[in-house]
Amino acid sequence: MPAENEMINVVVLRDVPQTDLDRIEAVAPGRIKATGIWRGVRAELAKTFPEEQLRRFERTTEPVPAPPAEETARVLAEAQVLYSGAVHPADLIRRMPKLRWAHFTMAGVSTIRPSEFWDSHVPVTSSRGHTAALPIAELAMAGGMALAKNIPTAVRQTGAQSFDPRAFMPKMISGKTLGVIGLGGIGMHLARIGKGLGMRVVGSKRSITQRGPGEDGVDELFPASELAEMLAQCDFIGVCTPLTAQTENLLDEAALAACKQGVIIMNIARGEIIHEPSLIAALASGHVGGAYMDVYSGEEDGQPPNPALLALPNVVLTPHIGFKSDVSHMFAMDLFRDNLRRFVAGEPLVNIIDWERGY
Amino acid sequence: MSERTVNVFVLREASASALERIRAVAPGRINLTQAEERTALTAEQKKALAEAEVVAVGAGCPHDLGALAPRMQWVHANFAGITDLANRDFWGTGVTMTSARGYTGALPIAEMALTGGMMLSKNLDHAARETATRWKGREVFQPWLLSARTMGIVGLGGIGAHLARLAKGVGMRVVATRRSATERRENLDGVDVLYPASALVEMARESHFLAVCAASTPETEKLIDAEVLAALPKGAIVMNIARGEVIDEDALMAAVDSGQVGGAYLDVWVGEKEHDPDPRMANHPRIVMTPHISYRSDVPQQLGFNVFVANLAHYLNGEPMENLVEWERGY
Repeated sequence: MPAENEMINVVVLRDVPQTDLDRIEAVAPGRIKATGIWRGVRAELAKTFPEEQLRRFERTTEPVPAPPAEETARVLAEAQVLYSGAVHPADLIRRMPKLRWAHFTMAGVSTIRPSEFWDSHVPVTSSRGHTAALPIAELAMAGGMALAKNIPTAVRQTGAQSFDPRAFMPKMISGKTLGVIGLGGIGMHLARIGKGLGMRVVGSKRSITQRGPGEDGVDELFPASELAEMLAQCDFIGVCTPLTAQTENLLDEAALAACKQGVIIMNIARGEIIHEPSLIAALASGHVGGAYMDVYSGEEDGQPPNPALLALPNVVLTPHIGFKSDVSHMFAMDLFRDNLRRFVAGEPLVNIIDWERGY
Repeated sequence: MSERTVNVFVLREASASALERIRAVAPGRINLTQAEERTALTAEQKKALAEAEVVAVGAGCPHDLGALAPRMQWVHANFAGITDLANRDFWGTGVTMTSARGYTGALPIAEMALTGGMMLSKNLDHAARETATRWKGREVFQPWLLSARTMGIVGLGGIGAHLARLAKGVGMRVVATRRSATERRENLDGVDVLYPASALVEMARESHFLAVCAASTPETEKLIDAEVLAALPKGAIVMNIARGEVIDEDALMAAVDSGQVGGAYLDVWVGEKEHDPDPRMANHPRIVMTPHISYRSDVPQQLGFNVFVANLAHYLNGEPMENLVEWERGY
């Protein structure tokens, strides 16, 4: 627990408005000093990250003057707490000798693997389960439904002004089976929506060791070891699991072969969870009926999507927009403020990353 | 049940199992003949039709069915939008008519309406058209949070009721109009607010999605006009899976052009039997259309025959039938 009179310095490595800094300080008035340093490290970040990627995180396109380098160095050296997005200097931890806790705003932390924060001695928390779980789940379902109802064909025919009813073979959603890989925050929302649409919902979860009925309306839960059996039942599959060493290429050629003919796959997690060459082959053969993907292999590294994937008529790809919504929930900030209150009170933090498990 | 034999003619495609279910209503007493619609009848079939007391038809029902089947007491239209038959010679006569309203593919149609709305609100039409990457072109995507939105259903009938349930299941608030409702009521029949048909503009004010599920009748022609569209929250999404004629297409085009309506999914258009949609409509980047396929499904939907089979038993027993068509009302 911080000493009674100790000032807690929070460094915010995101381009946030003053109101967000005020909200952080309001957790324990007079005890917390929150400072934004995005502008202070931007020039440094520009050496490692593409300019376009940096702009994605900025509130204005106007150039904002950077504070003096010594000032930024001093703020970092004094901080006990860091609040950061995915984009940060890989060696930042070395410049923060007093750091006692770092929070990252992403749900999936595979992007900090190259950083020195990974496997560090400092407790690191993620926003797993507290980011935009609901809009992401909604998008996954909307994508699956759009493919089931041949919306890509509708868009093509409308654009060409050439309508042919024979090209439409819409599938029922009600009565079909939805399989959710990873029943976490997003997965549970997806399961609930699937039930609301009249689907049977099955799911897998890392912590499950035995097959059985699930909670909250999930009809059947499968341990990870019985994934193939689960896949064989599913008409729709939602990939909602974090990317870890265990889940990389989880849906490989054999797993895809175990799927039902014509299955529709929705991936809103990370591209690398699906072995993409196998997926492309399965989509081309029609074994997989359609894929809605908000992610793809290599996306996090700034690579463009595989042209072979884009060329498929039964693929709909969005540019990692699942978290977006017109209703701002600021889930990540809410979680951080709850944890900051715990930090001040000396209570255990929630969502601490288990380096072994990888999330 | 009376013991007489009844001549039944199914003038449309029908599976062997559907025909078997019709015969099973009164074994040995149903004299059943079946012929494909839109094909010339054999002399034998013509004779059977002339003797038929009960006739089930599809959308391809002959214009002179009344003359071809002078002994016809009851005609069942095995589809929902039966105003298409208003120009047939038996319309408005003493013949009893039933339809499959609320039974034929009501569920797939409701699913299609919801999918069309969700797809537009999540900008998936744009995704299907163009590839953006995480670093380029992402600004176009401004998806709505569905669970913070209200679905407005014009016509809470068979399709509308399914749509209400599904939209609720996705987490939306649902409001609706119904012709027979006389006053605004909350929490009724699976919707948060049920309005009388006369309060359509009032309902439109709170509808981020406006789903047209009303039957096409003289009363509902151009029901969705400039006034209704102007009442919608800015950027609202319109779905029409009913009949093109229920929407004033010129008003819709103007509203989409101005951005008042943010997008439209249309399975139907004015004059769809005669011509392709107005190119201005099909050309619009925020309109997605399908050629009247919303009823389709990979799971057989023989629900229309269910109504016919159930009604056949009622007919033989002299009981009241369901889904009776009222000539005046038009459905």
